Amino acid sequence: MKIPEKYNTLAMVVSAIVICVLLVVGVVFAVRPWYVSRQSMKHEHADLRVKIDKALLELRDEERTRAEYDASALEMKQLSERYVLQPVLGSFVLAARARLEPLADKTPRFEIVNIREAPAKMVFRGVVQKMAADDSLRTQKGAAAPVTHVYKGYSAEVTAQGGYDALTLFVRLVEESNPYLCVTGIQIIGQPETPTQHKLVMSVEWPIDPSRAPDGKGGAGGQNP
Amino acid sequence: MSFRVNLLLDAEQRSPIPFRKETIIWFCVAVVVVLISIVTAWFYISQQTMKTRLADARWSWEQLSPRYDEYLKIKKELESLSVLRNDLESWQKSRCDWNKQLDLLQDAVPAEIQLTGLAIALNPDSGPEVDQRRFDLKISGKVSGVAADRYVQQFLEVFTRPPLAENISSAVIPDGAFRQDSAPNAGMDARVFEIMAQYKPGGVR
Repeated sequence: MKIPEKYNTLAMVVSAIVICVLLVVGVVFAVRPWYVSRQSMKHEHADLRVKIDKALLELRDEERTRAEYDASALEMKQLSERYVLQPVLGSFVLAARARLEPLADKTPRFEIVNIREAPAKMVFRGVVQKMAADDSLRTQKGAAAPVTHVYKGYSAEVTAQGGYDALTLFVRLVEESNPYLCVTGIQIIGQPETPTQHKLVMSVEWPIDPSRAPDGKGGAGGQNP
Repeated sequence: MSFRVNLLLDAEQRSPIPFRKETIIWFCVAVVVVLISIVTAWFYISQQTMKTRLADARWSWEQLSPRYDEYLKIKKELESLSVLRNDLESWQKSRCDWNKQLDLLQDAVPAEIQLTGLAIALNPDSGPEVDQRRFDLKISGKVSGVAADRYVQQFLEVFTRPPLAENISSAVIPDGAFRQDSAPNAGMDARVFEIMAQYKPGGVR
């Protein structure tokens, strides 16, 4: 490049170069951070928009979900109060007695001799055991997921006396009283001295909520099916 | 010999380009400055616009998020309730209507046979889940007469036919379970027997 001979021209070229260099430096050190900050805001804005759109889309079902929740909560409350064995004075045996004795009274020629906790095996279902430590299991998806066992079983053993028909009627009344309980054992022993009267030993298992158990483990006598 | 005489002074020399060099340089500088100013202005305006949009979005989210959080909480609770409901349903599905089985057994016993004991118990090999409950049935009885073995055989066959067979998977008389009644007052042709049956896994209906 030929250097201009005139001083003015030379000064002008140098000035122009300096100005351009300063501008480039300004772009690099001022505009670039500005640009980075703008990009960051852009991403944040995009994320917020996605969240807002998703929320608005889901909230379209809000009314239906609330109605479903209210109905489901009410239904579960009623089912739980009616069919899940609740301890009486902290005792599941008393609760079992309170439920079985009225049924025995309705059964002619039938007498309950004793009701006690079934021989304690105290075996929790695996999932329930995990739940006792981690309540997050309650949040598992219900519809599509496999059944998660939340309720623990509590077994009571009933010893009674009566004829075969009375025993059958009592078993029917017990089973009809609660669609969720299960008679897990029946033993009918003939008594030679009283051929029309038999001894009945019956195990009945109710679902119980482990969190309601007095000792946090569902009380004694829980039995795994 | 020829001479070329240049009578122009340096200051009087003129370029063939219509613009002076200084003008071109300043014009270029001005163009660069204007371009950079435009870019800077565009950045500034878009920055301010973005700030406004972001502030709007943040405000919208702040307004929406409590409602959305509440909705998610309800949804989560609903899922928990669904888990509880499904579990209760599994209890219902796996339960056994023994009263019907007891009625069926009563009807199935031949008149010649006297039952002395009946036991229904959970099979020890049942799985840990309620839907894997499996029950065993043990029936003890007495029979007498020359056709005692035939009566017992007939009784055993009852378990292989509906309605009992709908729930029972197998029924056998174990080896040695059909034998002479050893009770002191039993006759010579008195026999006792046991039948062991297994219910199918799952609910008995």
